[in-house]
Amino acid sequence: MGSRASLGPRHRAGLVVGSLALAAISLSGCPRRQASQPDQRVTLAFKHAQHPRYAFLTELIQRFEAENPGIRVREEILPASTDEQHQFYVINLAARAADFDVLDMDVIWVPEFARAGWLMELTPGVTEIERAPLFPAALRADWLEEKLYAVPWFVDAGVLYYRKDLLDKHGFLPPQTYPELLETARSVLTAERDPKLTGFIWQGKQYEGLVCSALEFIRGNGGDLLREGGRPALTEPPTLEALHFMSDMVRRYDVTPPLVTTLNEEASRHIFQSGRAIFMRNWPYAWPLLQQPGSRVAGRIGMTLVPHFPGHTSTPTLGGFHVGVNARSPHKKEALAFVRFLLRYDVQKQILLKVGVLPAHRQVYDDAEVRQKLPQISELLHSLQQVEPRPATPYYMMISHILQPELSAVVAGIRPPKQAMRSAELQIEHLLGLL
Amino acid sequence: MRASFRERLGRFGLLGPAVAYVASVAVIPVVFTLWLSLRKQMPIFGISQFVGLQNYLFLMRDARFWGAVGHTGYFVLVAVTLELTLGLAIALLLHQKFPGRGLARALVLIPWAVPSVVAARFWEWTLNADFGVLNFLLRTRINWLGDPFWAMHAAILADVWKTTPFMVLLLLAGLQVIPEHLYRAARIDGANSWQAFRHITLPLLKPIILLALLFRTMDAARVFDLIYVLTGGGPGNQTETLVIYAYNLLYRTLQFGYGSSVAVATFFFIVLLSLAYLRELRRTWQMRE
Repeated sequence: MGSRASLGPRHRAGLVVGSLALAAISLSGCPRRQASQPDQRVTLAFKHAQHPRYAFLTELIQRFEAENPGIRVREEILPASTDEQHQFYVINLAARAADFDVLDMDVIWVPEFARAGWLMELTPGVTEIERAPLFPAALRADWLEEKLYAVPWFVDAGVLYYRKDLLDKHGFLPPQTYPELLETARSVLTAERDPKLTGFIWQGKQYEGLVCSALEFIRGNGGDLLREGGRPALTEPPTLEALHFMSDMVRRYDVTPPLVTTLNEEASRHIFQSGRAIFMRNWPYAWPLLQQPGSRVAGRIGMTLVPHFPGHTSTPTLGGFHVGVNARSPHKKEALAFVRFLLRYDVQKQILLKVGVLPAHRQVYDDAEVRQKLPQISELLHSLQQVEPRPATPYYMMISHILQPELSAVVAGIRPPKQAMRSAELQIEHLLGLL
Repeated sequence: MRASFRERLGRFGLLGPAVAYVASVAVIPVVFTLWLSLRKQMPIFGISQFVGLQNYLFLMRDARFWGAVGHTGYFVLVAVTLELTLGLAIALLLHQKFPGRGLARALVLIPWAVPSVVAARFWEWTLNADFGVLNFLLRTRINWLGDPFWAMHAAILADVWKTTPFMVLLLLAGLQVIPEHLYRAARIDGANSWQAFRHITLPLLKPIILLALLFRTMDAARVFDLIYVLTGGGPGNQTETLVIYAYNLLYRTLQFGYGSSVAVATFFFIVLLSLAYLRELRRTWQMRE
């Protein structure tokens, strides 16, 4: 029986905030772990997200333990969805939990957690020499009021996947601009006469991925979500033009199918992998999956920078995860040692080769062994050098929560861009006024 | 005979633990939510202050909240109506004697036994516009979960599939306690099946119908997991219900004060709906006595 069914409304209303009540109760007396265990070893709890190849992370951790005999690291896996991970952190950190030391965080949460005082300052702890080789755009999200609160340990950037075979067949080069992409897609669709083939798919479901996709349209036209100083810039012409084009792709040009309003990353990948889209916006994780034996498009695809509008530059959205130290951790020194370990060149290289995510360390991309084993890395490096993070403000989650339905309304044709963005702008202004 | 003071004290002593337990799991969280809803509480910004009814005043002007009220109301109305109609039809069918009835009764319950999130995933695939079974069977190309009109109806369809068995279960139980001799007497008096249904089955089933409606209405009004998995509230918030809105405010954007006032409003929304049923239910019971 579903849990919904067995609970009365009172219990349910209680459940919504029951955890808050517990949180408040635990404020008074939170059990602290012993600072030193009988054998004088410290055990760090490292909270991180599940990932198909995180098994290799355990190998790295064993290496850290071998190098630091006094420290053990216990992995504690977070729930699968990022929403649930965020919820876990919020509930526990708001209740001043001290039973985990190192946190694996989505880049967009870092300013929020830092502002709340939940993260230990890393400014002197992580040295400038250690910070220098990390991608600056990724690191930008970790600073709040000139203090560093986290560091990226792997990064992500939106990329454009294309069907190399179809483009070659019809004599097209990978497009650099949106008009070129539109032209290419229409020509190929006309020539192929395949009713199942569509032109360009991206993440259009009402969720965080839609903000990432839309930002690439907007910034590719010189627009942005926020102005300098943090006020919304949603109703400015570059933003509205880009959103018009985005919605026209669906309703006017017939290049993006209407079902884009249901697509998240995996649903997009399924369509592209079954050979039914010419172009796809997605993250680099899809590359090995698309190229694996058995994939219908294996060996027939390419990857390039996300498009931009003429006169502007390609601006992929930054993703990835950052590590920080719980401000209430009883083992700050050891936790810091672990964070610094993750940034080391040799460790970052293993993170790429074994764990299969993109390292935050810029020089790994020039490594001879890496270049030889992963030829597509140079294309990814291009994207990573042009990425921009989503607005690094502590209230990003609130802004995104306001934007998601409005962007979705644009994609689904419920409201024109101007009306939707004006509504979002008013809501954001109201929110900022509250703070 | 009046109980002595000692006896009464003993009774309260025995009741005490149960009352304390219920209070701790049901009453305290509700009171705590009420208290939170009167505050501006945003832990990220270190904001924690009493603001009285300010959250509720904003609620009155919050278009997104009223949108959620509308979506929730529509969902409850359509889903529960369909569930009652279908549930009654299936219950009447399963009340007949036919070979394999036991098996049929068991099979009908399967959707109810599936956890909501699993059911939602199942429907997510079925309703997929690209390769979903439903479009294949209907030979349509409807964007079930991504079209502003269809998304809510797709969610209703999934909910009807999932919870009609619950209706069947309750109504079937109700049918079984209607004495058989009433029908025999009616037949002797020359009543046809429709008349028997109209004048015997329906009136005698009414308390159970009301009870089933009460349960389902309360349940449907706090729909969350099903829609959250199917559409995430989209497209363009067309399927955002009250509980999804409260969840977004509380856990995704950490507005504990305002989020709690939405939760409290949801609570009263459900209480109001329930009171209407309870009044009717009490009237029916009084009439029978």
